[in-house]
Amino acid sequence: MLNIALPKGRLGEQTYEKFAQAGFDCPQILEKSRKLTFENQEKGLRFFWVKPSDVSIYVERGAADIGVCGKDILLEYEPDVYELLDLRLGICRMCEAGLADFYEDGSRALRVATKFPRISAAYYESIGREIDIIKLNGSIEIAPLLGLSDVIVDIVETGKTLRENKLCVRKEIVPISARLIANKVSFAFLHDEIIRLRDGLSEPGGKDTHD
Amino acid sequence: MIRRRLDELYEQYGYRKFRMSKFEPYDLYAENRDFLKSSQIITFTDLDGSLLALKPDITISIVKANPGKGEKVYYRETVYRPKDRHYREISQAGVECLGRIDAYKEAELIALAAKSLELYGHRFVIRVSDAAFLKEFFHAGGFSPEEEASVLSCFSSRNAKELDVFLEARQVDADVSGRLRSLMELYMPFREGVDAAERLALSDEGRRMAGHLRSLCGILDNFSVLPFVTLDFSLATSMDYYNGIIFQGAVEGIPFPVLSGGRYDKLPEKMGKSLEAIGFALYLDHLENYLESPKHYDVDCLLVYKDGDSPELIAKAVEGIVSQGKKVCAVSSGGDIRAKDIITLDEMLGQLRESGAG
Repeated sequence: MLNIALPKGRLGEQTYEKFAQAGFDCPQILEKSRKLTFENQEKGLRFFWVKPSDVSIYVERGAADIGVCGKDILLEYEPDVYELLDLRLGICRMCEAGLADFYEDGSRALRVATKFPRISAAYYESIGREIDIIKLNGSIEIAPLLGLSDVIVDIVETGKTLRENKLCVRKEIVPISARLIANKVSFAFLHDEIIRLRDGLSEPGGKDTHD
Repeated sequence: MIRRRLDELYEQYGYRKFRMSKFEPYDLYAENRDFLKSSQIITFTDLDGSLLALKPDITISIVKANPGKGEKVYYRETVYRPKDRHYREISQAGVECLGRIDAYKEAELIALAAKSLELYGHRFVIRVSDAAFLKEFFHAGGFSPEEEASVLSCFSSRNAKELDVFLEARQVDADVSGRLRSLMELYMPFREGVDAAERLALSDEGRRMAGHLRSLCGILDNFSVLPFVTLDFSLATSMDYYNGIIFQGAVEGIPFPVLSGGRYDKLPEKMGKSLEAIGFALYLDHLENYLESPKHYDVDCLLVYKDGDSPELIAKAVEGIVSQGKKVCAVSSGGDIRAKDIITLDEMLGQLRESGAG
């Protein structure tokens, strides 16, 4: 039985659709119910929904053999897992954004508000910019408006939220998309099942190409 | 208990128990920092002002104590390391072989690793990689040390996408790229894996190294462990520590590797000893926390007596239960103790009278 952790929400639903199209389905999952886990005995699959940022924890600690989570989570928490496939879902960018008229004074530390302190620290370190990180847990966009920070580092999909808050993208840090991840020990014991799933998921668009 | 059976196993193959004190001079670890998993060490001052450290590692002490001769040792010790932002006591068992290391000794160590895990009675696997083979591949392919590091980081997460992006950005030759991708993908029973690795090697030296790996197959087969061994180059961590074979063991049901080891000639070299070395450590905490069947009760029998009961009779009843080979706890009220059976003093005395009469 292959245990699969999917992220709750829209990305998880898109992911499940992709699994189902590739033949790794579990009809139960579409029924409205209070159940937490869903099994397809015949195909040896058990799905469950967890908070998106928890998927990598379930997989790293082996409660799930495989899972789907955003590259942002992998970069931020660096779980010790295999990253087997780019599912090309949930495509967005990790960006630095600020008020349109913000003037960056290079002689001062840049105050950065973000949910992703590790990604931010690594990025600014790589370009040699001194920063002051302000870790927030939500509503990041408000930080520059209230003068809490100079800029924010956050995920940008369409840019609508930024525009509504009069912010604009200043730098793109890294592209983000959903990845298929696997526990390293599960990979050893369920190798054939996991490879079959990976290859099945990478087929529809042909080879796992990238742009 | 499995710990004792591990000792027996290593002794059967001629390994001698190595014992050491809880601490060493701090300088020993400071000088060999590159060979430690973490540079955070618990230190304290000796009465004469010199700095001591609680041992974070056993291997360094074994190499230090070695007089420059071949030896085979095993240990079962506690190390002190940071984990989850706190220092922890971690139980390790391990085996080290020092001296001139030939193919036989390499295979013997892999076999002992497999036989150690076999004792736990669950499915297990030993994944083997070869740092020297990968290094030679990078050398023959003209990779810089930075490029090597990027490729290895893709290998250790089996990240084909990132590897492709990297290879394209560096405009690596298509043939070399293809071989590198196949090496990363490779996950095969050892013998077949070695054949594949030989085909993928870029140089004669690489093919010679694959030939060396092949020479291990027959030895592992005679140790009856070959079916448990898999070739897997994603095992690319600690490449600066290990200079040849690297291996890791996993047991089904435990999400983390429970054994890791390899060939580490650089440590004795750094310590000025002309020795080669190979060894592995077994993480007993992981093995025991995940596998040993949880106890369901504290004692077999709870003997409940009342205030005013005769202490002499209680003692008699307790001895009666112990003589049946059971664990007993005598209490005047139940409390938090979980027991398989609960018996009152009167019942027990009744039983004793019956058996005495019968």
